[in-house]
Amino acid sequence: MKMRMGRIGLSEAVCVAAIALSTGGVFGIDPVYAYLGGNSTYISMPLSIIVSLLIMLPVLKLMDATKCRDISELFLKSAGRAGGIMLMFPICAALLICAAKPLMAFAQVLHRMVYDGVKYSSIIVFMFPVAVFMAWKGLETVGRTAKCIAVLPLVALAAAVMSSASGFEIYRLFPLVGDGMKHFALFAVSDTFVFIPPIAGLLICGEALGGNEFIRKAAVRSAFIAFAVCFIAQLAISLSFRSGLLAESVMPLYKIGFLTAKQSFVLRLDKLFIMIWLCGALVSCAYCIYSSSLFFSKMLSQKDVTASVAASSLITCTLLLEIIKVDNAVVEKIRNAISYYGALFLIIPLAAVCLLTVIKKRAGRLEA
Amino acid sequence: MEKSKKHIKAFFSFDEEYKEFELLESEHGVPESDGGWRDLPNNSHRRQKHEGEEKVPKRVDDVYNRLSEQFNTDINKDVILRRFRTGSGHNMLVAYMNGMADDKKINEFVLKPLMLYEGKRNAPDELKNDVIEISEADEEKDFYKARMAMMDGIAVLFSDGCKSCLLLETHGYEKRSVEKCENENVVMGPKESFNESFRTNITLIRRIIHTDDLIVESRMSGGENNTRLAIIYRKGMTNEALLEEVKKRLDGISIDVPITSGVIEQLVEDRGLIPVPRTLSTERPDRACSHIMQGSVCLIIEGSPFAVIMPITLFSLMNSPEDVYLRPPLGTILRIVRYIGAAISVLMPGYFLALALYHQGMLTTEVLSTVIASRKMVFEPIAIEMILLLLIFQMIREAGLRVPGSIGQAIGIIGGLIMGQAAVTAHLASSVILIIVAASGLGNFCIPDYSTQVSASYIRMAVVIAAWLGGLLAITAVILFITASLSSTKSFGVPFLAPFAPKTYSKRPFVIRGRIGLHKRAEDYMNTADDRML
Repeated sequence: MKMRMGRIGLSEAVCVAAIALSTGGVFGIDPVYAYLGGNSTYISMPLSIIVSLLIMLPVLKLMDATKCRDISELFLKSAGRAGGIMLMFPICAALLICAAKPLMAFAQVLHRMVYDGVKYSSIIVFMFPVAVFMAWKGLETVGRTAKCIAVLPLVALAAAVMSSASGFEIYRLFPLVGDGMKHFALFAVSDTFVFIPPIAGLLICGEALGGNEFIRKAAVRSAFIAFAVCFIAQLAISLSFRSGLLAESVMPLYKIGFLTAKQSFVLRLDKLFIMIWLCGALVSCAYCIYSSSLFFSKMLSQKDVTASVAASSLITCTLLLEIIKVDNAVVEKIRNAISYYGALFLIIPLAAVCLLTVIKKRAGRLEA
Repeated sequence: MEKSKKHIKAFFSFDEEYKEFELLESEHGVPESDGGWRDLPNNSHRRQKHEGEEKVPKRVDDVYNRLSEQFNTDINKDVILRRFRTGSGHNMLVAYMNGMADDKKINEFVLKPLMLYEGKRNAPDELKNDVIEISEADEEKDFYKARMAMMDGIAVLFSDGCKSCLLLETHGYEKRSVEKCENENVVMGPKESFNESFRTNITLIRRIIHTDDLIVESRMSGGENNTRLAIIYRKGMTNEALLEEVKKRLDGISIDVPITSGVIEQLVEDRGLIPVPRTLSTERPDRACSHIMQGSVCLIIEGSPFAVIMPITLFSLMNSPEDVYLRPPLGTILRIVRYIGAAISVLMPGYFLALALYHQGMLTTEVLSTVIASRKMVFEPIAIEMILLLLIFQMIREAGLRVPGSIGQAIGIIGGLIMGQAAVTAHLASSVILIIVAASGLGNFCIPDYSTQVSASYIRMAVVIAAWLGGLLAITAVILFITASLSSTKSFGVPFLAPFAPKTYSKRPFVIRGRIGLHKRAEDYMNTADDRML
């Protein structure tokens, strides 16, 4: 077996999942969709993390009940090989989209605001191989690297928020929850597309974490950290910009410092901050690519994850290189569909697996 | 080459396990010691192939003839084959290497008593008990081993009609005395350092560690060259799997070049491409002992003034022996300064270059105008200037190290002050870049371990080149790549970034200097037997 899982401790698992969740919540959202109903993301995003956790905890409970060490075993036990593979694909695809989305945002910002006029491909050539390297080296490397850099994005976020605090205005928070509670709840559920995959990643790598109890702890703790990070970041963004402006903005967190009239030393570090956040995005990308590959390999009973990592990296690279520059109606429609209905593609297979597990367990056809 | 081939094969071969030695506890609490090194051929057979094949000839004349032929005594005049008769007329031969063995000792305590001996019992064990006045004398039946012992300064006594010989401890070659440390100076703490003498080095360790579980396991290694080395550890404390792994790797050594600490480090490390050292070379007995007490394995190699410690982590490489001799607050300040120095050394030139080339907006107007003013007349591009100055700094450092003491200091002064001033005046370099390179060099010297200093220099150059090519983005990529590489690196099964990543149980802080009272327990990542208290 060459699954390159090794063993990671609770702190590494928390770090990697928290980085992936926070990166998704701050940089991996589609601004056109997220700020459609006004500046309510500082509530809907953290809430979405809780919803994602609530969706994944029953799956974990079923893993416990069926003595499965990871989610792939649960899929195989409940839906069989063919069914399990069918249900696996949306989750793998979501993981790869989650790997690519934050990097797309970073590539766009670097292209527009840091390296003026430099090609997307040149930017991606610099950053993507590092994520591939980490994914190739396996979970231990990803987890330990996440642990090493975990504090830096938080410090950068704190510094960015504090330096731009003088430009915050309360009135920008209105309308608070868009068109009403319905809209607000819709966002909370649909944004789970960003948050379910990183938590699912923990379940996929369950064997390396050393038991379901550790997975649960890692999921809850990382969700709590991501909740705080997303709340602070989105609140700072919402206090800085009107929702109309945000809908057209790629990475508003990067720009919040620009609003303060007074030039400060910290403001000059904006490009440094973006690089630190990029480290988080790259670790998150590596984690998502590895998780997706591992899930695929386990479901197909492959003994080697590296082939899947290579394929997943290629798909993610294609997403990064092609979709980022295509600006046509079809791509726009796909993007919108993912933003609006992406969560359903994840919730339906997970619900199906849960349902099948319960049915089989009650029928006594599942080993306890 | 063989190792590289193995890694390339492992990289491209799907569905094939690449085993790696792991010392951290597995789910069952026992380290899985099925490391990839175990697949390597055991090369000790190259050394052992002769062992047991040659018997000691019964007749002294045969011994003489065979040794004369094997050692080419007509050419090799330093091989002494001395035939003599005892007081009772029995033929004997003592063989030794001139200069390696002590002539006086042989004359006084071997030849003289034997020539005066009039007894009839001439078997080696009887001579050892009744006649020979040397404390360490062992009987040997293998002629090959006897020859090898001769090469090591031992006198071999052959007695006519006996199938065995006596190996007499008569080492007497010239050696350096125990002197002050040259590379790991401390203000407080012991000053003595290892020298090239195998025995002396072991004695220096034994003088510090007084526990009865200290084992000094002597063995030969290194293909046919037979370098003597000692594996030093604490029995019952050092992890057995670690010990086995070290022995396995030593047995895998098959080169015929002389083995020293530097060579052995490279031969037993996991992956040669990563520049950071995976073993610690120290010339300080107190430092070696501190690691042995914690459950590490120490190698003492004949002819090498360094002890090689394994496994190690990044944090142990960044610790100085002096830390322990200072009170916690002072030790903490020194350590923090050291880490900041290392960070400045690695990042500062690259970061500045990235700002100057790609992100000028991050520099204040004052700084930017200073940079522009200082570079006004400098003809080469800023990146070339930075790389050239870093290279010159490295050259000054190398020159200072290689030439004798006082001249070395003079080179440092000439290179640093006069050349720097002249270069700025001649507009070959700008003062700002010069200051950055100097600060980076000073930071590099804060790193206590020489190999780590050199590694930091390589990483610094990689960061500078990255900054030149792609600004902060490329620096980020390189730093993350290096972090990931270090995260995946292991030193004899111990993750290189332990106890931080992965987090292992440790009451001792790894960056700041904790209370000395916390040194009661070995580090968890060492996985010592029963995780026992020190």
